[in-house]
Amino acid sequence: MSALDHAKQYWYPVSMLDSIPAFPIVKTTRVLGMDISITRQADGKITVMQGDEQWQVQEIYDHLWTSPSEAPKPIFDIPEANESDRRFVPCGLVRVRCSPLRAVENFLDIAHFPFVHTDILGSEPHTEVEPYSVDIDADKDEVIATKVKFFQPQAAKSASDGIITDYVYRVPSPMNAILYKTCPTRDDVQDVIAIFVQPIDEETCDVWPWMALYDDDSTMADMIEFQQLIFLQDRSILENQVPTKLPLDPKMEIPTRADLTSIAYRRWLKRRGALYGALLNTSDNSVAAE
Amino acid sequence: MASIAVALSKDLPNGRVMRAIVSEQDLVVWRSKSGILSAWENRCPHRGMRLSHGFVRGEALACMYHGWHYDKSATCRYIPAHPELEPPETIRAQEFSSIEKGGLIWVSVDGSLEEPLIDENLTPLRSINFQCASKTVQEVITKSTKLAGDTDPFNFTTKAAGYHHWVLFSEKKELNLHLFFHELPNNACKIHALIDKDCPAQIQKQISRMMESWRRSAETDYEVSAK
Ligand code: FES
Ligand SMILES: [Fe+2]
Repeated sequence: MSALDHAKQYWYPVSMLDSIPAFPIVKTTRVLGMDISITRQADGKITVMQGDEQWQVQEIYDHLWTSPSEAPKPIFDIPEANESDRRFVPCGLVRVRCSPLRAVENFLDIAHFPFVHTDILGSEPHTEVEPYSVDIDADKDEVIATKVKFFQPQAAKSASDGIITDYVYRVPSPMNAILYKTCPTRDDVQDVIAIFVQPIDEETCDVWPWMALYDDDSTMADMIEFQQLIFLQDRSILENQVPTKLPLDPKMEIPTRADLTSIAYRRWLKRRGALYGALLNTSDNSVAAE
Repeated sequence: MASIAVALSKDLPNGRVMRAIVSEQDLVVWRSKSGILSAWENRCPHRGMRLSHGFVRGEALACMYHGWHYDKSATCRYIPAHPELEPPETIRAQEFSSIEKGGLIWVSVDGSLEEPLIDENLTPLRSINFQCASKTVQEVITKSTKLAGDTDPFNFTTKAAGYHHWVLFSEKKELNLHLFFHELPNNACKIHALIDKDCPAQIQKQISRMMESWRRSAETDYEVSAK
């Protein structure tokens, strides 16, 4: 199966639900290199067309999702999306010129916090990454990282002091990742932050961050601004990684123990043939200048 | 391919990092706090970040992404995520040969760093960027020197025109102007210019402006021919 055919089996986010215009205005975007148009019909139903072909849609996690497949794999579950006392915050999109897989890998990485999100999600000299565990959840076939801990000066909009933040990461499908982290205001629950990645093509993506938080004080605008700031900082990295695609050959990039999640993610992609946005062989390694 | 001039030495002070591109090879060129020059592949061996976004920390270059330190031998010496760990010697950035001569930084990406022969009497003037290929710039220079009439303060003639290195001579002012062409991808280039040491500041300024006028013509010519 080609990388593209494999990628066609999944659902992809293409818009926030509340930014789909009223009938008859058509919104256009791109998925896996294909142009699509999104229309809210007169009766309120949303349709997605790629040329003459109609794609399936579903409305979930505050976004519109679509798939080129006639029988896509079921979308992953986020049970916390049903907890009505959480605040659900779709954060808009960040366009990044990098492989969708690089965007997901960056989301799974904590070692960059002190250097990229300086004084927000990390700060020197608190750079050490303690050992943590990574597994493949056999039932769901997801990558799961647990017991991840990191010192954060300002873990969330609602955090006032530095705290040791605990993280759990899930990668339920190649272009989506979810993290659960210490809620700065409550001990008994965890905040949920996800990125849903829309693959524009193999080297461009739109990242749709989404949060499900316990935060009664911050305004929606503040929370979105906080998350946008974080992702813009990540973008300055993502657009400067070479090669643009994610290398799956372990000889091409050298990891350490702090990269266990990234190692597991790369292996998991390779095993399931999720190669859209990936580089398989060293020989593809054209690291030419732009 | 021989060595290519990528910058004037004075444009890369101690503790600074720059990006350079030589024959499609993306490079980080940097100078340690004590002044040691290095030119490496512009890619961190860890997760591929361009090292030209990094920072000099003393005698090391720190990658912007996860802060790994590389010393002057391009070997990784410090991984902040594991402060106690002594990184294996095998973690290395890819090095290229570089040298400073005549106030210029020279890099070779094919392993053959021949020492460039530079006239002792020259001093660096400036580097200038062009949004067009060096061939276009060379045509503009040829045309403008030919067209210069008697009123031109310099009346430059082309004394030598190699592939990368041109020498213009002004009989009126008894002045040599050396141009080192540095080809870049996507139809762009730079010129690194050297001039006779005894050239007065006022004249240096005039020549610098003359180079800017080449840029104006070259970039318009290019736009016209691209249409
Ligand atoms: S990519 Fe350079 S330190 Fe991680
Ligand atoms: Fe980040």
